[in-house]
Amino acid sequence: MKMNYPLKSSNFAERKKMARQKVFVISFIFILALIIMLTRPVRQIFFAIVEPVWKFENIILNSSFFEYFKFKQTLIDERLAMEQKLFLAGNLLAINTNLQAENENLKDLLGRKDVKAETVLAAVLVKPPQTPYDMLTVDIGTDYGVKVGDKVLASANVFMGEVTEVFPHSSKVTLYSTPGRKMAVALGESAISVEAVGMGAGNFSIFIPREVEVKEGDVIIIPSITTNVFGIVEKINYKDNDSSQTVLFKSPVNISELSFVEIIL
Amino acid sequence: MKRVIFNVLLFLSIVVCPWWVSVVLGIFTLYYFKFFNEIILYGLLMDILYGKLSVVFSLWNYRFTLFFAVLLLSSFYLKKGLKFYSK
Repeated sequence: MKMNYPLKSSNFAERKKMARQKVFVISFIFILALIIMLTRPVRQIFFAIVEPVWKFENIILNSSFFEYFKFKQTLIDERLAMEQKLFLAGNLLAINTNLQAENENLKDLLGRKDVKAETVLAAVLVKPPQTPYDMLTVDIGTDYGVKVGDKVLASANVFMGEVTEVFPHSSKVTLYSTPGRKMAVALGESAISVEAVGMGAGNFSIFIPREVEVKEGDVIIIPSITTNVFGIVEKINYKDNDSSQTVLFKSPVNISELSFVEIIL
Repeated sequence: MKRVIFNVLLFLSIVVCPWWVSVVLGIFTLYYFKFFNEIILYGLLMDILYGKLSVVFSLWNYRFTLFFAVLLLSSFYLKKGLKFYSK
């Protein structure tokens, strides 16, 4: 395999000079890296350079340009499938609206009024698998009043994560499913308090005793006066002689298809 | 000229492609060129863009930077021993 650099020189003085140059260049790069790591304004500059590229990429991917290259039958099939989904979704929405109104009335009667938190819509610029960790980058930052610790919702009421870093025009969101991250949740119809551990990519696990009744399809919520679906049980693992069971559940939102989120200010 | 092209490709791969594409391209570039020291800066770029950087400084938050730094230092010794590099 032919590589594109010259033979090693037999001149000792020249080799020593080259070695010193190498050490100088590497030291310079390490010091530069250290400066960048320690100074936030310099890190903001990197974000400011890359944000327009991400926004442009989003515009291209979300545009209808690629629709021109699809076959007619594929488009017809897609349209029929979407019409059916829309019909079912419409029915569910009607039921959901009625239930929500009933819920609000009952809370009102019991003296608890929901104070609607102020939320702002944000477009997702970068998401897994482009990011190596369970993180999202969104297109709003301090310009919209976002701050570290703000909760992030997807699909109206599914808690996804928290804002962990804020820049002038973008923010980083760490998802709750980050591997190793623990959260207090309520499991099933009896709302048993358990601890969920993140496994990455919207997946979680709960380690509970065998006596606790749980089945696939059970809903996991975050304990709160408002109902927020956090996950749905997918699988339950246990061995016959085990006294415990591992419940695996995932977020109802597909993170890799996430386009918009809401940030609670 | 080749170096410039590889630098542009690496930058674009970090911004547009999944992270593992950038890692593979970075390793390839590191061994294609004799001294590709800027690989550390690309690792730093990946950590800044995609990493979880907390207020308290921790070297462990800069995993890609550390990974590429170790690769760069080890490449100096590996390249001496590999027979790939002929005249």
